[in-house]
Amino acid sequence: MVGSANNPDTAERSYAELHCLSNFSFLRGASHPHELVHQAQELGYRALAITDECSVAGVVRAYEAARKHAIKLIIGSEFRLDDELLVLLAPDRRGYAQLCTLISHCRRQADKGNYRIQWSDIDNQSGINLDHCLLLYRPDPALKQAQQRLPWLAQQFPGRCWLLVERLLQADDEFHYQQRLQLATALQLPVVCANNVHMHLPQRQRLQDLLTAIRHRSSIEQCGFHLASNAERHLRSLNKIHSLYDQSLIDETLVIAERCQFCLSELRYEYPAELVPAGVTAGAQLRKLVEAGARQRFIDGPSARLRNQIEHELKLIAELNYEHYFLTIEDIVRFARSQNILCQGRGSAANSIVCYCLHITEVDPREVSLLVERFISKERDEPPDIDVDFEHERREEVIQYIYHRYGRERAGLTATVISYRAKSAIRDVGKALAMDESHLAWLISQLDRRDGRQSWQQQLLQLGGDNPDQRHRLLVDLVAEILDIPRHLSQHVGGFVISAGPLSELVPIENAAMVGRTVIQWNKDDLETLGLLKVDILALGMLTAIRKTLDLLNQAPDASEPLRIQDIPREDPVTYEMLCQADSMGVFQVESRAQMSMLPRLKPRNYYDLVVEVAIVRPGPIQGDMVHPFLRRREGSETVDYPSPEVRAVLERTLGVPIFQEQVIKLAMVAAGFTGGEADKLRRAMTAWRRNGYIQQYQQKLVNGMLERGYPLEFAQRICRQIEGFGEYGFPESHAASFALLVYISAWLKCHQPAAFCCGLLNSQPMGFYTPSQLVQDARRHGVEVRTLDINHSHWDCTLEYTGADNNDSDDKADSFRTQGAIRLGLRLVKGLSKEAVEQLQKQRPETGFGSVADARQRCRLKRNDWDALAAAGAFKTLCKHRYQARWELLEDITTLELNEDRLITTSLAHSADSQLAEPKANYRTQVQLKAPCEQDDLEEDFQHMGLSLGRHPLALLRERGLLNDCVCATELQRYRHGQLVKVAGLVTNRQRPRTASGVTFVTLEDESGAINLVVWRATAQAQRHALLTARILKVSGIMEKQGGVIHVIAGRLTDISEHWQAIKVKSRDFC
Amino acid sequence: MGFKVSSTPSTAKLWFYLYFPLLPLEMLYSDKTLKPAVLLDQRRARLWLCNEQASEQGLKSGMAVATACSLCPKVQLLSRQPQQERQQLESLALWAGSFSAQISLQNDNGILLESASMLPYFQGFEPYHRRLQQQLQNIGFSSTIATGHTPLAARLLAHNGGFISTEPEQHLAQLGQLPVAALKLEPKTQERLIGMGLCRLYQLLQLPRNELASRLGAELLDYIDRLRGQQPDPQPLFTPPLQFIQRLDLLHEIDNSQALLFPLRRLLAALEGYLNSRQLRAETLLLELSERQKPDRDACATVRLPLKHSGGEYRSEAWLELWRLRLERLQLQQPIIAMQLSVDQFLERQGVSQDLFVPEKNTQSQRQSPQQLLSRLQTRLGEGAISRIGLVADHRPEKSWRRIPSDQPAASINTAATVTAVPATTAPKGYGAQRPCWLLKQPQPLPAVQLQQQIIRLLQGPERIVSGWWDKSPIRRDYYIGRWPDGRLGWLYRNHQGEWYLHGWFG
Repeated sequence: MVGSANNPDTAERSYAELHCLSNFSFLRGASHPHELVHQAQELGYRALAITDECSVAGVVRAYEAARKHAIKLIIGSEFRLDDELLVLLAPDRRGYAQLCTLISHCRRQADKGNYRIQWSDIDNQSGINLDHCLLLYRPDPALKQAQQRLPWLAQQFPGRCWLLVERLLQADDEFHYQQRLQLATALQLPVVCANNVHMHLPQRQRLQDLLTAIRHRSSIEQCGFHLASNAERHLRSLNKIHSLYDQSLIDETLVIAERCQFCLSELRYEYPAELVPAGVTAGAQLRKLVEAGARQRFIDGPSARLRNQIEHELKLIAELNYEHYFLTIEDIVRFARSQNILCQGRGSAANSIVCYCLHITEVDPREVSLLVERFISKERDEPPDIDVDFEHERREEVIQYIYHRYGRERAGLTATVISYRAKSAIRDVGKALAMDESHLAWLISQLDRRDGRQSWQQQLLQLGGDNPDQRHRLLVDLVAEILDIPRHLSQHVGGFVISAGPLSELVPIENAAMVGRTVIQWNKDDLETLGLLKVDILALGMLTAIRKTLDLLNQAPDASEPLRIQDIPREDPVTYEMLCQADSMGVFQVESRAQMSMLPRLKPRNYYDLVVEVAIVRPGPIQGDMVHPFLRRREGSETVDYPSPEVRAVLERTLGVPIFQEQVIKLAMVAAGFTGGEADKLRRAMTAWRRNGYIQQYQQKLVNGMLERGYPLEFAQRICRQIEGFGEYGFPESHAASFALLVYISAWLKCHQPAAFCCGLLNSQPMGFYTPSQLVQDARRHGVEVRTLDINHSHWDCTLEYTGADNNDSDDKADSFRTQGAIRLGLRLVKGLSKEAVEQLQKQRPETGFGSVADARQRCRLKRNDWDALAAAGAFKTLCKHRYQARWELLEDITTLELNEDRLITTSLAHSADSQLAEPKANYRTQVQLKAPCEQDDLEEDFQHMGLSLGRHPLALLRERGLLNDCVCATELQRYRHGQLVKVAGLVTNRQRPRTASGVTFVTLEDESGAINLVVWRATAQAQRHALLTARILKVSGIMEKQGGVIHVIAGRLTDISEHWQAIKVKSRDFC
Repeated sequence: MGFKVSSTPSTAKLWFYLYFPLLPLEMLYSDKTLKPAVLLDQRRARLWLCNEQASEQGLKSGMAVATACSLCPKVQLLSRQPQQERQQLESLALWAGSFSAQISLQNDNGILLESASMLPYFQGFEPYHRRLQQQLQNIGFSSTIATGHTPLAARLLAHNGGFISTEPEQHLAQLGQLPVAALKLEPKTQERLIGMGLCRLYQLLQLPRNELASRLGAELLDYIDRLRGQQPDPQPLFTPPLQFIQRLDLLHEIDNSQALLFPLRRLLAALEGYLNSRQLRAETLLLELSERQKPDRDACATVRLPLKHSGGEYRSEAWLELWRLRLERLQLQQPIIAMQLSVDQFLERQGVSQDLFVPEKNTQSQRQSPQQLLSRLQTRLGEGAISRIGLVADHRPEKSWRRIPSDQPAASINTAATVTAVPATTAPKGYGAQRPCWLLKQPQPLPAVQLQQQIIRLLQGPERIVSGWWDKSPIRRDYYIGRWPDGRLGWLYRNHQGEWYLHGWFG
């Protein structure tokens, strides 16, 4: 008998709550599933049904909690039809599948977040088969429909239908209760009681009222009768339940609970069958594919060591029954390869030799000695995790392939649960408290989430002043309460579930916001809890860029053998040298300012250095204070010592500093004595740290474990701090290894094929950290010729031109094995120009190009806006005097042109402003000659209409006018000493939001020679925030800081000189 | 070919445009504020208007709220009140009645006045302009004014710093220098013009009409023609209402009676314009001040101040003087959140003597609406004597109904902060069936012994009501129906401390 041990009464007085909403009935339930389970257990309930409204989104969390307790969890769902209400419960696996099917049906008929149910849906003649489900029916308050409804339901659910009675101490409670009991007697139906639970404790009423107000988009005060009149909808004590309901009703709850034997652990993932041919086992099929791959990958066959590794991995996979998982991924990747879509796997299992042979990854196991045990562990028995990145522009093709291959019934995207965070909490709570929205905007703007000294909640409290009014106090309290309460389901970026049978029998499916997309009601943590497998189909811009770069190189006139990723020479010293110089704009992952200032200090010289580089410049390691010890040890200024050989084995490859998530897990095992299972829980606590904050319980265990094993306290505490940092943004080695490969590939391309690489990046926008303007400037500084947009030469994409290119004579590019071309800017850069227009243009364009503006208009019928956009971007430069004139001419109505068609043909070549044609009216050509733009106007127009300019840099113009005489340009900075006073000026290209924890604002300036990195300390920023926050061109006097080849200017005085630009423009106008 | 300057003498046409750039912001504070304040856009993400103090701190319209707050953490962020903006503009139009018979409200915080026909009454342009300037200053809104020979010309010049002239040529010359961006053209048209290097209006005017039309559309030509007066440009005219009732919601509560004079000045200015345009005088004014709701009261109380000027008066200055005296004597019990000024008694402008002989002339102003009748009754019987009962959506019995002041329509009571009038349909089913008709004003304590000894017998219950945590009167009670020994049925409750109270009787 289950029951709370300290209360002998409850042994005989037990109860099962069958109608309980968690906060996954969004904005209705006010308690987390685990809170409900825990409280029900405390109260001595025998069972608890989680019956969220048309949903099972919260049940996995409840299941996770119930596993730890002796309480039975029942899965069900509530449906509302006007004033009437149904609770359906799943007694067994079939019943569960039926319930999921009904939920899917109702959800799929409505918009995202809603559902629609009709009585016909539960009619066993026409609706969905529910012959295993149990039904509780709660009639409308006035019992208007019940007389007819109940007999019908009893017929639909023979022996499985109950009248549901709930006493919530509202007006006429006793009368309603008796009335229902009489009704049941009259109809000879069983009655059962429940409490319409919305929260685990009555104290949650405040939050529940708040959620109600938010749901009705109203303030609490205006919410009136939408609010509950009391706090009775909680998990009530057994005493109270016994005083409210007849014993027979309570007994009936136990009868029903007894009939419900379904447990979520019964959900076994069944793999899609089509990946294995008939008569072959999955294992044999996998072996066949791996062997075929191995023959391709290793031309002389795998070495003995590799052969052993293959056998070892296959054995492990077989023992864990993961063959189907690898086959599923292989199938998707094979499709991508067949479509020439680049992809790259990463994640716990991706860096295995099996995945290398299956072409899931390009990380060559010969280069990295990554042991698969690090990623798949028999002991841990956790499903392998492989994420596959695809080219961002073509991921949709892969998704459509999956839908096509498995059908929408069997493939679905996982959900992401969107919960209340600081901003949304303040906004919604504030509105519900009828606070002024502009005041809320102000409050939000005043919070500094990165302030290490004070949590934002404390800051919020202080914003109310010394004596905050009641409303502000309520806001602070309720924001704290609503935090982490789920708000709605959203679509995960790319997590897919594929099943053997209909997916909707495993988990309900609902509509996503995006048309044609559906999501399942569980997120990836839920799937992991249940041991279900998922595949992450992610989008990565860099893959697009790399593929486009390779395509460009393969189209070069001297291209012979096609260049593939695997053909790119590995461990090229020149490439590493380039990275050591922080010359990494455009390179995957290491192009950010933080990464760039790390490169010259970390000095990556091999692939594994890149793996570390990728993982170390992240908030996790930075917050955990791992970066500086690692740098010091790498520079040799700090000795590496290991407290024990076990720790050495774990940390040696990162010089004694834990940098990867896997190392932390391993450390917990070897140094603190965690079992595999505990370590796994720690890992999940780390990833879920932000969500639940229960990592603390592991910290004590870690410290104790390490002290017991003789490790110093200081060491133990440092490890704990580092784990906390990881909790925020830990980076696993298995992901870093795959990313590092792309870092290398992109770096190699930038180093040896700068023109093609820049072109590939431009054609993959938007992506990366930098704008097309910055990318083009960088390429030009690397000797790449860039040619302007031209109506007669440009294509949609940026292209490489090989005729007349003059950049191949430099010696340092001698090692390139393809001729460099010149970049011809593509028309995709033109703002507001349609792709269809460009296609037509390219089709109609003669070999020799259009002869004139009129010729182009004659041949192509583009929309006015398209002509306008082309002219504005300066694409007619070779055909027309200047862009102002081109725009004027191109805006001419086409019908006017057609009227003069004859003349057009005869005179179109006479392209001068001669006056003999100046007869009014009869002449199609305009008499208007507009004044040409000045250099500054040209620059502005370039930026406005194509986002970059090949003209002189604005700063060069200012310098030419003598306005920056005292300023040093970016490239000259290197000549200055550490600590020297300098003045610099530039366009503000990047301004990291101020008010960081350490008080630093990072600003990047750009002048005609390159970028200048500014560091602005808090005091400077506060004193000069106007210039800092609003200037577009900034002049700065400051102090040089040079450290390990990294240059910063510590800003002193900031001067906004933006008006110089307007000023010289006015001047130039006045003089011309 | 360029445009020809029209040779017809256009001195006959003259418009004044009064532009109140900060009206939506300035109307939100009832005193000249010296603190930086800004008005946010609809989405409350960016600044829309900044007062002078905010501009001095470097705030600009279009700036993100977050940036503004980091630049100037003390800035006061305000939200738009579109309905009140409209009211305020109408009030200004009433005021402007002194200066023109043809007034048009413009939806960019401006008022257009036809002035040519008014100049003779003011002895010419200069005095007219001077009077206008003086009165504008008294109103206390930032403004720029401009003249123009067409409505559009006046509007553009007012929006671009203002310009005063009587000569069409000067207007044109001034307009020519305006940047194209100031013309408020369609964004696409504007982008095209600037993209062809046509940055100022005069450049545009130099281009041949037909070429311009074929490239940029007939709308642009139409615009230019309206600007130059070559196309009629009729404006919707503002008609003053028959009654003068002007309400002002104060964004800041006022607790000092003298501070009421500042906002009152604006209402009186509107009154003067109104009286001028209708050639009337006012004999009795009624000022109603809405008090902030007291915690122990159900509704906002109103202070009603009638003020009579024997013989009638129309000048705002004279009325202001009277009010100053009147308000000096006033002691405010509660801060004031809104004020309303109305005319109780009008007099014709043409001499008092006539009234003696033709009393019927006053019939129009004496005709009383039910509203007026009520307000008169109310002044006679005392405040709060007349009211009706409304049902309110609140679970707490003492909050579930309220007296609605009789002069307030039922629909408008949800403007009071805490209450919504609830149509019966939204109340829960069966609501009210078990509630007594007579609620005691204060629940009366009942000795627990009466219940223990079953002197009072509980017949029904409990109905548990736990609600109201959000304000100062939360309750936690179990309600019962009990029978008294004499057979009366009472509604009683026990609070969470176990104390018993009688709350009402069933009739």
